[in-house]
Amino acid sequence: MANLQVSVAGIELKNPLITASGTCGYGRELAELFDLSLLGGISVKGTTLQPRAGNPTPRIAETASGMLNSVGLQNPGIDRVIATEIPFLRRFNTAIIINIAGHSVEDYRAVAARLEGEAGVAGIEVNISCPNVSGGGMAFGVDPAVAAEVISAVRGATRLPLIAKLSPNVTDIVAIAAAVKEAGCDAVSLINTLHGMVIDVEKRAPLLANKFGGLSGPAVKPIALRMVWQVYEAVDIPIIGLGGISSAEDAIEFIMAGASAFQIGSASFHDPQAAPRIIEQLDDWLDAHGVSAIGELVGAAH
Amino acid sequence: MLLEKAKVLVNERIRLKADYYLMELAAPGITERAKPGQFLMITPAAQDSPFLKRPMGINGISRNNGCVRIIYQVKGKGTRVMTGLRSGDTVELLGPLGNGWHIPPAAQRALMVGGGTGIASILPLAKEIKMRGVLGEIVLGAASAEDIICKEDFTIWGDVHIATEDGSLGERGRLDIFLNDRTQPYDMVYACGPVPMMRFVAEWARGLGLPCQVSMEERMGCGFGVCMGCVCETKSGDGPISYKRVCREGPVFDAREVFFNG
Repeated sequence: MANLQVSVAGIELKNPLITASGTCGYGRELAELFDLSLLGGISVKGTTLQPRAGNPTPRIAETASGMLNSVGLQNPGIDRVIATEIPFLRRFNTAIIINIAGHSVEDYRAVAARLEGEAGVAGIEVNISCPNVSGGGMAFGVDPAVAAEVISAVRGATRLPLIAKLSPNVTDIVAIAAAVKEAGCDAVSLINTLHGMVIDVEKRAPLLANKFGGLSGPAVKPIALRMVWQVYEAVDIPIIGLGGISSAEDAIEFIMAGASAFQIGSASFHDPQAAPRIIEQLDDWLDAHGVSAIGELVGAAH
Repeated sequence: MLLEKAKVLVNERIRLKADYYLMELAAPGITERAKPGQFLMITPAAQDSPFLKRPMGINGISRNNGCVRIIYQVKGKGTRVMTGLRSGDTVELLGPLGNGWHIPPAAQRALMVGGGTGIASILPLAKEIKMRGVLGEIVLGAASAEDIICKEDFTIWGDVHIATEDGSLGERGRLDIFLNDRTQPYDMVYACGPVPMMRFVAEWARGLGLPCQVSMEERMGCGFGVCMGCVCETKSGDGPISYKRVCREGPVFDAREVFFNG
């Protein structure tokens, strides 16, 4: 039994595995399959100030070693999440991370302010990288100045640990990471999905109703790893790595590239038991390699 | 809902021309819990499976020997890969998923309408209807005789009427020819099939003031409610239009609640 405990952005995690926003709802469905208390943390569905209906269908397309989604942040709004979802999650011994999104800087600030003092919330993950909503989402995450403006506003509204979830759809990930750190962020999670599309050749039209969607799954892992590596080298900020992780070895790659914790996303669609399986595999891997604490491996490949 | 390693018992082509396959899987836990109208998510291959599981309506529930049956038509990559599964292979099965058909406790007479591959999901309902002592009438429609799957099985469970567009089996035409002269006081009308067919049945039922349930279909990511991919537009009463998950709040919806887009 190796020591799997990690601390990231001031959040204590019993193990480094967090289920990624948008792939675990608010925990209710996964709780039917395994005990959520096994998880290091859960990052809930991107939540906005007002309820959001999301995009028309089709929203999902399979791709080579992955998938595209264009859900468009369908969620019941922060008030419902506070009233019914957070109390449900408080029953489990896991770090509750609330992923927030917005259409304006003020939206982000207002959602964060609602969470201040909310019992059981371990931290806020600020989604400045959703590729599937117009006039917001990713638009905030592709310009360092705008990204910093969002983080500053949120920082002013809460004392909770802040994680900025970054978009890979940028020319310089390091510049964005440095900007959000400067603005008061405690950690960064990278990467969100890559902007992509599929064409239905029979219909001679885009397959997704929204035309474009976010690519996730094993296909994106090398890109995600490269970005974690780059940010680790250049910016002194804790990193939560994600993008295509489906095994303990994948996760260890991210940790060796510089991530202190990691998230699993669409792997849960492929295998709904992926989270508890990877935690178990991780423990086995560390024992087999004579590593007593996972923290020893952070950045080990540099 | 549970995730079960299921052994493929049978995976065979059941039609000469059309690409329909019948698969039986040993999955005692899922079989024990399954209800008509629910579905399963299956890994399409024993090894190197495509990334996403595929949703499959349940066609048979055999509690005595702990196995479930599905019928699928080869339409895309997933179903094409599935034809390669051999008896003895192990696949991952998640289920049972979704809500299933609702049979009102006091029901005495029910009409079940199946179109195309939707016929497969009507079969376990027809059995359940008969077992509950409800008088069941069954209307099946498809392009051709080859597409009327399980037709022998249906005759055990109720009165069966068949229409094919090319007239190769039953009446020539669409199944509306049976509905237009039906005015019995059905306690429930059930429909599963292509959207235009379900829209027709729903409007017909509404015209007669009959309650109607329809089973919706949508591209799925996870199949168990976390990805929000497979939604359909719904409206209940005077409430706002909202997207509900086909995999979780459905696949069976009250016909008055859904919009038949597409």
